[in-house]
Amino acid sequence: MAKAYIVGIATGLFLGFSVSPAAFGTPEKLSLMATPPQPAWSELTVKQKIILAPLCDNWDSLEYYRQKKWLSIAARFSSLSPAEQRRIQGQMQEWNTLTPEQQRQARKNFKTTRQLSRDERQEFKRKWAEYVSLPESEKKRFLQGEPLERLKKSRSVPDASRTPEAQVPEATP
Amino acid sequence: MNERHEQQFALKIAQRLNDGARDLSTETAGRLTAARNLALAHQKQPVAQTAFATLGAYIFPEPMRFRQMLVSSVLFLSLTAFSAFWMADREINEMSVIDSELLADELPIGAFADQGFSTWLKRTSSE
Repeated sequence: MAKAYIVGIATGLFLGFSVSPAAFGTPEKLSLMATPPQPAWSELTVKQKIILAPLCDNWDSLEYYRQKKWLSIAARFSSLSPAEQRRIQGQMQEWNTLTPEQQRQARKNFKTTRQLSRDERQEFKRKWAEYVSLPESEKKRFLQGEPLERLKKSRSVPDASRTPEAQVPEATP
Repeated sequence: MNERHEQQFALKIAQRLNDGARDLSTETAGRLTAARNLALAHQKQPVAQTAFATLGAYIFPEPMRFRQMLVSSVLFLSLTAFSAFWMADREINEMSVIDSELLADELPIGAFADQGFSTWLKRTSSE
């Protein structure tokens, strides 16, 4: 009889851990399905409401797993520096407007930059500043995957290698 | 024709045996009954063999009582649910740490989320 229970437990754990991610596909789907209901805006503590104030308008329409994530961030908020707190609050809303796919990509890019050396990171910052200063028309061209040849001509950069490059497929906005 | 003869022959034998059975002593009859019951108990019943039945017979060789099966199923299902919840919880925690750091970074969200910047970066890096 004990054997039956042990087998039942083992099978349950094995299937649960191995099947659920596969069955649910993307990680968000698993979180979406397996997160219990979170407090509504009116049920949050005052401290939580202060921290999450930028989200007050659409809090109740957020998915449970996103609410839970924000509450988790709010719980650690006081351990951050004032500058960090300011930056988080200033960008909360913008972050929420991104699609799950965009957020996933952003997290991936962020993880990559975290592994850069100090010099590489400085270079990355410099590149960002450079990109920001580009005119809108130029920026739009990169959103659509402009071929390298045209880019070099327009920027008057001496072309080191004239290797023909395959057309990059259009990035979906 | 042959079949009919065989059947008639078999019937005659059965009749003779039945007549003989009535004349058996109580003791012999008792032993015969016991032997018959033992043989029946050992007789294998044909069971519909499906893949799951075979697997089930392998994991649980002895016949399971209904209560045991019910308890095992409940345990199994609750553990599957538990592990799904646990994994979701762990993932949300990881996400909250990354998101918090990303949003708190000196660089704005755009540096990580802007598709145009990402493409531009790849282009200019290959020069």
